[in-house]
Amino acid sequence: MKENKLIDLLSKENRWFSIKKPSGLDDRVVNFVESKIYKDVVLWKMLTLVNALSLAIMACFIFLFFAFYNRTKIVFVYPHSGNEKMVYLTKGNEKVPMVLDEEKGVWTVVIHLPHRKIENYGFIVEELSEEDIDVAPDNMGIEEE
Amino acid sequence: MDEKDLISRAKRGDFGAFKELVSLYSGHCFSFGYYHLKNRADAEDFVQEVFYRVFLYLKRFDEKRKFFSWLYAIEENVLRAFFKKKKERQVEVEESFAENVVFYDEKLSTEDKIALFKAIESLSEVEKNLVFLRYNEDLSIKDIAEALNLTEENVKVRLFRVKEKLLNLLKEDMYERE
Repeated sequence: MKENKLIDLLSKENRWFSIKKPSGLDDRVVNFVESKIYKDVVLWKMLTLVNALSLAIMACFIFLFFAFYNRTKIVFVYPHSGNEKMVYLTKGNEKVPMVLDEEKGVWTVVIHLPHRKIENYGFIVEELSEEDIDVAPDNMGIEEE
Repeated sequence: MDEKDLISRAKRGDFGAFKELVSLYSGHCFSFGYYHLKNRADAEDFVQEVFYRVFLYLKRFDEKRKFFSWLYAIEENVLRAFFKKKKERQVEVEESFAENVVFYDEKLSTEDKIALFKAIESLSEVEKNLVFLRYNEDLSIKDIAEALNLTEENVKVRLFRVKEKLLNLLKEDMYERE
Protein backbone atom coordinates (compact mmCIF):
# COMPACT_ATOMS: atom_id res chain seq x y z
CA MET A 1 0.00 0.00 0.00
CA LYS A 2 1.39 3.35 -1.09
CA GLU A 3 0.40 5.22 2.08
CA ASN A 4 2.37 2.79 4.20
CA LYS A 5 5.54 4.36 2.88
CA LEU A 6 4.26 7.73 3.99
CA ILE A 7 3.29 6.36 7.37
CA ASP A 8 6.81 4.95 7.68
CA LEU A 9 8.16 8.37 6.84
CA LEU A 10 6.07 10.00 9.55
CA SER A 11 7.49 7.67 12.14
CA LYS A 12 11.01 8.92 11.39
CA GLU A 13 12.50 11.63 13.57
CA ASN A 14 15.05 12.87 11.10
CA ARG A 15 14.53 14.99 7.99
CA TRP A 16 11.60 13.99 5.78
CA PHE A 17 12.24 16.26 2.86
CA SER A 18 14.16 19.29 1.64
CA ILE A 19 13.29 21.88 -0.94
CA LYS A 20 15.79 22.52 -3.71
CA LYS A 21 17.15 26.04 -3.94
CA PRO A 22 17.09 27.26 -7.58
CA SER A 23 20.46 28.03 -9.13
CA GLY A 24 21.41 31.69 -9.40
CA LEU A 25 18.95 32.67 -6.67
CA ASP A 26 21.58 34.48 -4.56
CA ASP A 27 22.60 36.75 -7.43
CA ARG A 28 19.00 37.56 -8.26
CA VAL A 29 18.30 38.40 -4.61
CA VAL A 30 21.39 40.61 -4.29
CA ASN A 31 20.57 42.44 -7.56
CA PHE A 32 17.00 42.96 -6.44
CA VAL A 33 18.06 44.36 -3.07
CA GLU A 34 20.62 46.65 -4.69
CA SER A 35 18.14 48.05 -7.21
CA LYS A 36 15.38 48.41 -4.62
CA ILE A 37 17.71 50.21 -2.23
CA TYR A 38 18.62 52.59 -5.04
CA LYS A 39 14.96 53.14 -5.92
CA ASP A 40 13.55 53.32 -2.43
CA VAL A 41 16.33 54.84 -0.41
CA VAL A 42 18.29 57.06 -2.82
CA LEU A 43 15.30 58.26 -4.82
CA TRP A 44 13.26 58.68 -1.65
CA LYS A 45 16.00 60.85 -0.17
CA MET A 46 16.08 62.94 -3.35
CA LEU A 47 12.31 63.24 -3.31
CA THR A 48 12.38 64.29 0.32
CA LEU A 49 14.98 66.93 -0.51
CA VAL A 50 12.87 68.22 -3.42
CA ASN A 51 9.82 68.27 -1.16
CA ALA A 52 11.71 70.14 1.54
CA LEU A 53 12.90 72.68 -1.03
CA SER A 54 9.41 73.21 -2.44
CA LEU A 55 8.05 73.60 1.06
CA ALA A 56 10.74 76.16 1.86
CA ILE A 57 9.93 78.09 -1.36
CA MET A 58 6.22 77.98 -0.54
CA ALA A 59 6.91 79.19 2.98
CA CYS A 60 8.92 82.10 1.54
CA PHE A 61 6.05 83.04 -0.78
CA ILE A 62 3.55 82.88 2.04
CA PHE A 63 5.81 85.01 4.24
CA LEU A 64 6.31 87.57 1.48
CA PHE A 65 2.60 87.62 0.72
CA PHE A 66 1.70 88.34 4.31
CA ALA A 67 4.58 90.74 4.75
CA PHE A 68 3.93 92.92 1.71
CA TYR A 69 0.59 92.27 0.08
CA ASN A 70 -1.87 91.19 2.68
CA ARG A 71 -2.01 94.57 4.39
CA THR A 72 -4.85 96.89 5.25
CA LYS A 73 -4.64 100.29 3.66
CA ILE A 74 -5.68 103.15 5.98
CA VAL A 75 -5.88 106.79 5.00
CA PHE A 76 -5.35 109.25 7.82
CA VAL A 77 -6.76 112.75 7.35
CA TYR A 78 -5.98 115.88 9.34
CA PRO A 79 -7.62 119.25 8.65
CA HIS A 80 -5.36 121.88 7.08
CA SER A 81 -5.17 125.00 9.18
CA GLY A 82 -2.47 127.00 7.38
CA ASN A 83 0.54 125.05 8.57
CA GLU A 84 3.22 124.20 6.00
CA LYS A 85 4.27 120.77 7.25
CA MET A 86 2.51 117.86 8.80
CA VAL A 87 3.93 114.56 10.00
CA TYR A 88 2.25 111.32 10.94
CA LEU A 89 3.95 109.68 13.90
CA THR A 90 3.72 105.91 14.27
CA LYS A 91 3.82 103.98 17.53
CA GLY A 92 7.49 103.23 16.91
CA ASN A 93 8.15 106.99 16.58
CA GLU A 94 8.63 106.71 12.84
CA LYS A 95 7.78 109.98 11.11
CA VAL A 96 5.80 109.76 7.89
CA PRO A 97 5.33 113.08 6.07
CA MET A 98 1.71 113.89 5.17
CA VAL A 99 0.60 115.24 1.82
CA LEU A 100 -1.55 118.31 1.52
CA ASP A 101 -4.71 117.95 -0.52
CA GLU A 102 -5.37 121.63 -1.27
CA GLU A 103 -8.75 121.01 -2.92
CA LYS A 104 -10.21 119.31 0.11
CA GLY A 105 -8.11 121.32 2.53
CA VAL A 106 -6.75 118.31 4.38
CA TRP A 107 -3.43 116.59 5.07
CA THR A 108 -3.44 112.92 4.14
CA VAL A 109 -1.17 109.96 4.63
CA VAL A 110 -1.64 106.34 3.51
CA ILE A 111 -0.49 103.71 5.98
CA HIS A 112 -0.35 99.95 5.33
CA LEU A 113 -0.99 97.85 8.40
CA PRO A 114 -0.12 94.13 8.35
CA HIS A 115 -3.47 92.92 9.66
CA ARG A 116 -6.16 93.79 12.16
CA LYS A 117 -4.59 95.39 15.18
CA ILE A 118 -4.74 98.43 17.41
CA GLU A 119 -2.28 101.01 16.16
CA ASN A 120 -1.43 104.06 18.26
CA TYR A 121 -0.54 107.12 16.30
CA GLY A 122 -0.04 110.87 16.55
CA PHE A 123 0.27 113.96 14.36
CA ILE A 124 3.06 116.54 14.51
CA VAL A 125 2.16 120.01 13.29
CA GLU A 126 5.23 121.91 12.01
CA GLU A 127 5.14 124.82 14.49
CA LEU A 128 5.53 122.58 17.47
CA SER A 129 8.66 120.75 18.48
CA GLU A 130 8.42 117.06 19.33
CA GLU A 131 8.85 117.84 23.03
CA ASP A 132 5.77 119.99 22.94
CA ILE A 133 3.60 117.21 21.70
CA ASP A 134 2.35 114.53 23.95
CA VAL A 135 2.23 111.52 21.71
CA ALA A 136 1.09 109.08 24.34
CA PRO A 137 -1.16 106.49 22.76
CA ASP A 138 -4.23 107.44 24.78
CA ASN A 139 -4.49 111.10 23.82
CA MET A 140 -2.98 110.83 20.34
CA GLY A 141 -1.23 114.18 20.50
CA ILE A 142 -4.27 116.24 21.52
CA GLU A 143 -3.37 118.74 24.12
CA GLU A 144 -5.29 118.50 27.34
CA GLU A 145 -7.05 121.60 28.48
CA MET B 1 34.44 33.99 9.18
CA ASP B 2 31.70 33.17 11.68
CA GLU B 3 28.12 34.35 11.46
CA LYS B 4 28.46 36.98 14.22
CA ASP B 5 31.31 38.75 12.42
CA LEU B 6 29.37 38.60 9.20
CA ILE B 7 26.32 40.18 10.82
CA SER B 8 28.41 42.88 12.53
CA ARG B 9 30.04 43.74 9.20
CA ALA B 10 26.71 43.76 7.39
CA LYS B 11 25.28 45.99 10.13
CA ARG B 12 28.07 48.47 9.49
CA GLY B 13 26.98 48.62 5.85
CA ASP B 14 29.42 46.10 4.33
CA PHE B 15 27.49 44.90 1.27
CA GLY B 16 29.94 42.02 0.74
CA ALA B 17 29.02 40.67 4.17
CA PHE B 18 25.36 41.08 3.33
CA LYS B 19 25.91 39.02 0.16
CA GLU B 20 27.45 36.26 2.25
CA LEU B 21 24.44 36.35 4.57
CA VAL B 22 22.20 35.98 1.53
CA SER B 23 24.08 32.90 0.35
CA LEU B 24 23.98 31.44 3.87
CA TYR B 25 20.23 31.84 4.38
CA SER B 26 18.65 32.08 0.92
CA GLY B 27 18.22 28.30 0.79
CA HIS B 28 16.27 28.21 4.02
CA CYS B 29 14.29 31.29 3.03
CA PHE B 30 13.39 29.86 -0.38
CA SER B 31 12.32 26.58 1.24
CA PHE B 32 10.06 28.46 3.65
CA GLY B 33 8.51 30.50 0.85
CA TYR B 34 8.08 27.52 -1.46
CA TYR B 35 6.70 25.33 1.34
CA HIS B 36 3.94 27.86 1.97
CA LEU B 37 3.35 29.48 -1.41
CA LYS B 38 3.78 26.27 -3.48
CA ASN B 39 5.03 28.24 -6.43
CA ARG B 40 8.61 28.86 -7.50
CA ALA B 41 8.13 32.39 -8.85
CA ASP B 42 6.23 33.50 -5.74
CA ALA B 43 8.86 31.87 -3.53
CA GLU B 44 11.65 33.79 -5.32
CA ASP B 45 9.74 37.05 -4.90
CA PHE B 46 9.32 36.12 -1.26
CA VAL B 47 13.08 35.60 -0.78
CA GLN B 48 13.82 38.94 -2.43
CA GLU B 49 11.36 40.78 -0.22
CA VAL B 50 12.70 39.07 2.92
CA PHE B 51 16.31 40.02 2.19
CA TYR B 52 15.33 43.54 1.27
CA ARG B 53 13.76 43.86 4.73
CA VAL B 54 16.81 42.21 6.30
CA PHE B 55 19.00 44.86 4.67
CA LEU B 56 16.72 47.69 5.79
CA TYR B 57 16.30 46.57 9.40
CA LEU B 58 19.63 44.86 10.08
CA LYS B 59 20.84 47.90 12.03
CA ARG B 60 18.06 47.26 14.57
CA PHE B 61 19.03 43.60 15.02
CA ASP B 62 20.08 42.80 18.58
CA GLU B 63 23.20 40.66 18.27
CA LYS B 64 22.38 38.87 21.51
CA ARG B 65 19.48 37.20 19.69
CA LYS B 66 19.86 34.35 17.24
CA PHE B 67 19.92 35.62 13.68
CA PHE B 68 17.81 32.69 12.52
CA SER B 69 14.96 33.57 14.92
CA TRP B 70 15.05 37.19 13.79
CA LEU B 71 15.06 36.18 10.12
CA TYR B 72 12.23 33.75 10.77
CA ALA B 73 10.11 36.56 12.29
CA ILE B 74 10.70 38.64 9.14
CA GLU B 75 9.77 35.66 6.96
CA GLU B 76 6.48 35.22 8.82
CA ASN B 77 5.64 38.90 8.37
CA VAL B 78 6.47 38.85 4.67
CA LEU B 79 4.46 35.66 4.22
CA ARG B 80 1.45 37.28 5.89
CA ALA B 81 1.78 40.22 3.50
CA PHE B 82 1.96 37.82 0.53
CA PHE B 83 -1.19 35.99 1.57
CA LYS B 84 -2.94 39.29 2.22
CA LYS B 85 -2.12 40.29 -1.33
CA LYS B 86 -3.34 36.97 -2.68
CA LYS B 87 -6.43 37.10 -0.43
CA GLU B 88 -6.20 33.31 -0.12
CA ARG B 89 -4.27 31.44 2.53
CA GLN B 90 -4.87 27.93 1.22
CA VAL B 91 -2.76 27.06 -1.78
CA GLU B 92 -3.41 24.19 -4.17
CA VAL B 93 -0.71 21.51 -4.13
CA GLU B 94 0.13 20.75 -7.74
CA GLU B 95 2.36 18.12 -9.30
CA SER B 96 4.97 20.69 -10.31
CA PHE B 97 5.33 21.61 -6.64
CA ALA B 98 6.44 18.12 -5.61
CA GLU B 99 9.11 18.07 -8.36
CA ASN B 100 11.19 20.62 -6.42
CA VAL B 101 10.99 18.67 -3.18
CA VAL B 102 13.61 16.04 -2.42
CA PHE B 103 12.37 13.31 -0.10
CA TYR B 104 14.84 11.38 1.97
CA ASP B 105 12.80 8.27 1.30
CA GLU B 106 13.49 7.85 -2.39
CA LYS B 107 10.75 5.27 -2.87
CA LEU B 108 8.00 7.82 -2.52
CA SER B 109 6.07 8.56 -5.68
CA THR B 110 4.90 12.02 -6.76
CA GLU B 111 1.40 10.94 -5.70
CA ASP B 112 2.68 10.18 -2.18
CA LYS B 113 4.47 13.51 -1.98
CA ILE B 114 1.34 15.37 -3.04
CA ALA B 115 -0.75 13.40 -0.53
CA LEU B 116 1.64 14.35 2.27
CA PHE B 117 1.70 18.04 1.32
CA LYS B 118 -2.08 18.12 0.99
CA ALA B 119 -2.30 16.75 4.52
CA ILE B 120 0.24 19.34 5.72
CA GLU B 121 -1.75 22.07 3.99
CA SER B 122 -4.79 21.27 6.14
CA LEU B 123 -2.81 21.89 9.36
CA SER B 124 -2.88 25.17 11.24
CA GLU B 125 -0.20 27.79 10.56
CA VAL B 126 1.84 26.96 13.67
CA GLU B 127 1.58 23.23 12.97
CA LYS B 128 2.73 23.73 9.38
CA ASN B 129 5.68 25.75 10.62
CA LEU B 130 6.54 23.07 13.17
CA VAL B 131 6.68 20.44 10.42
CA PHE B 132 8.79 22.74 8.28
CA LEU B 133 11.32 23.59 10.97
CA ARG B 134 11.61 20.05 12.27
CA TYR B 135 11.38 17.93 9.14
CA ASN B 136 12.74 20.24 6.47
CA GLU B 137 15.20 22.40 8.37
CA ASP B 138 16.12 19.63 10.80
CA LEU B 139 16.23 22.11 13.69
CA SER B 140 16.53 21.01 17.30
CA ILE B 141 13.54 21.31 19.63
CA LYS B 142 15.35 24.16 21.42
CA ASP B 143 15.86 26.15 18.21
CA ILE B 144 12.26 25.58 17.12
CA ALA B 145 11.02 26.75 20.52
CA GLU B 146 13.09 29.91 20.17
CA ALA B 147 11.94 30.62 16.62
CA LEU B 148 8.25 30.04 17.37
CA ASN B 149 8.35 31.63 20.81
CA LEU B 150 7.14 28.44 22.51
CA THR B 151 8.51 26.36 25.33
CA GLU B 152 10.48 23.22 24.48
CA GLU B 153 7.81 21.06 26.16
CA ASN B 154 5.13 22.74 24.11
CA VAL B 155 7.05 22.09 20.91
CA LYS B 156 7.44 18.39 21.77
CA VAL B 157 3.73 18.00 22.58
CA ARG B 158 2.65 19.90 19.48
CA LEU B 159 4.97 17.87 17.24
CA PHE B 160 3.54 14.67 18.64
CA ARG B 161 -0.03 15.88 17.97
CA VAL B 162 0.87 17.09 14.49
CA LYS B 163 2.23 13.68 13.59
CA GLU B 164 -0.94 12.03 14.86
CA LYS B 165 -3.05 14.47 12.89
CA LEU B 166 -1.04 13.82 9.74
CA LEU B 167 -1.33 10.08 10.21
CA ASN B 168 -5.12 10.32 10.53
CA LEU B 169 -5.36 12.60 7.53
CA LEU B 170 -3.26 10.27 5.39
CA LYS B 171 -5.29 7.24 6.50
CA GLU B 172 -8.54 9.05 5.61
CA ASP B 173 -7.09 9.94 2.25
CA MET B 174 -6.09 6.29 1.74
CA TYR B 175 -9.64 5.03 2.45
CA GLU B 176 -11.13 7.65 0.16
CA ARG B 177 -8.89 6.57 -2.69
CA GLU B 178 -9.61 2.91 -2.15
